[in-house]
Amino acid sequence: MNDHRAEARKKIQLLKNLPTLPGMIDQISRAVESKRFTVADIGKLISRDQVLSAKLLKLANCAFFGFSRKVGSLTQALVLLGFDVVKGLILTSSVFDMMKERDQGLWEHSMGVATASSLIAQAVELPDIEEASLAGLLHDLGKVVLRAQMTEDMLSIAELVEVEGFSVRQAEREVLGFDHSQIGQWLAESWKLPQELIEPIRWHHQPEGAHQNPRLTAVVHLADIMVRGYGYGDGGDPWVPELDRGALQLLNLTPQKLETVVDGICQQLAGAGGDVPPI
Amino acid sequence: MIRVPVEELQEGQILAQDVTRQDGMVLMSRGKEITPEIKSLLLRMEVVQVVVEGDQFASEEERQAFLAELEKELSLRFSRVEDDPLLMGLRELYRRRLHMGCYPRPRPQPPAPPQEDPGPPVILAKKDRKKP
Repeated sequence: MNDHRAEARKKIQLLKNLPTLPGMIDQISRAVESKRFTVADIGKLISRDQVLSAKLLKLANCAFFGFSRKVGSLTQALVLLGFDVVKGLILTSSVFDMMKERDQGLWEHSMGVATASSLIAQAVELPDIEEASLAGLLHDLGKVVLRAQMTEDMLSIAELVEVEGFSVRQAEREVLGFDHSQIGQWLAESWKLPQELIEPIRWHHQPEGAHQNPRLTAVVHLADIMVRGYGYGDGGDPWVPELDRGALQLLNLTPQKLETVVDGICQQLAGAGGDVPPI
Repeated sequence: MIRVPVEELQEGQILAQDVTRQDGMVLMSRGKEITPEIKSLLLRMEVVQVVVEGDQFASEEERQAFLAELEKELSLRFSRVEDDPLLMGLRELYRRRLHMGCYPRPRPQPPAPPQEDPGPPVILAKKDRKKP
């Protein structure tokens, strides 16, 4: 099953059916690059899509961005979060839309990791907290696409987890020859996401692989473990993955800071099942 | 702390969190005791639900049973990393917080009345909630 030809075939099958980037993201990117548009113009551009606008505002008001006042308009969201993060949120919302049946567990897991990434980033004083939240939100991109596009393989993967006790990652490798972090990387690259965001998606299970943004990758690695340990949302199997020591050293997270993060998780996620905006 | 629909508030309950509107305006401060007057004021202000002190459990046995269930789930989650002292430390942090009421999931409500929308973390006035 694991020979390279089967692997390559799966990869081609996946990439051929690759969901296209929503046109809106392209339009915004071009508008931003042309430098002839103001923030208000771009806000108007997005607001043509009412469903998307409403979702964007909901996401911008999520606790992990930590604004004390309500973000009331798209213009405000663009100013506060910046184009890159807003683009990322549009992407997140489009990607989760691809799933025919909404997977609330995976969505909650992603929201949880976004929250924990933001808390860890604050504790270790990362310069860009919003970027950390976004990286957390997108880290399991590959799983979302896998569930949306390769439903038959997903059934085999779920069976290996259920019956054989494989971790989701092991099962993905067994069935496909690669795992969701690899799929996430292909997608992120084909969508031309910034490299800083690709690394946490690709290396959140093996943070030593990150070279451009090892600290952000380490943040998402730890956030994933903390959220799984806490038991919030559903990442596909119940088990906490291994913690990479190098990542921990890179973050220089003292026991006190770790407790602060745990307290933050308790405050923002405790019993919050119903508080997560459905996407 | 429990979240209670205003209609179901009982006399003598204490507000555990400020009642705020979505724009952040505080309508009523925490610590206030619920009286029939306060309840009807909240209703007139079209507040949907508030957080009061107290517990979501009918009895201590019920709470212990739920805690035991959550502890079992916690152990299962960490069962494959038991050789990592750091992760065992994290498990202990979570375990202690379980006993402080930090539950990762709400208790399954047996015969809960139908709730249309559990609502966002802030307590909203009905007016705000009806916005698209």
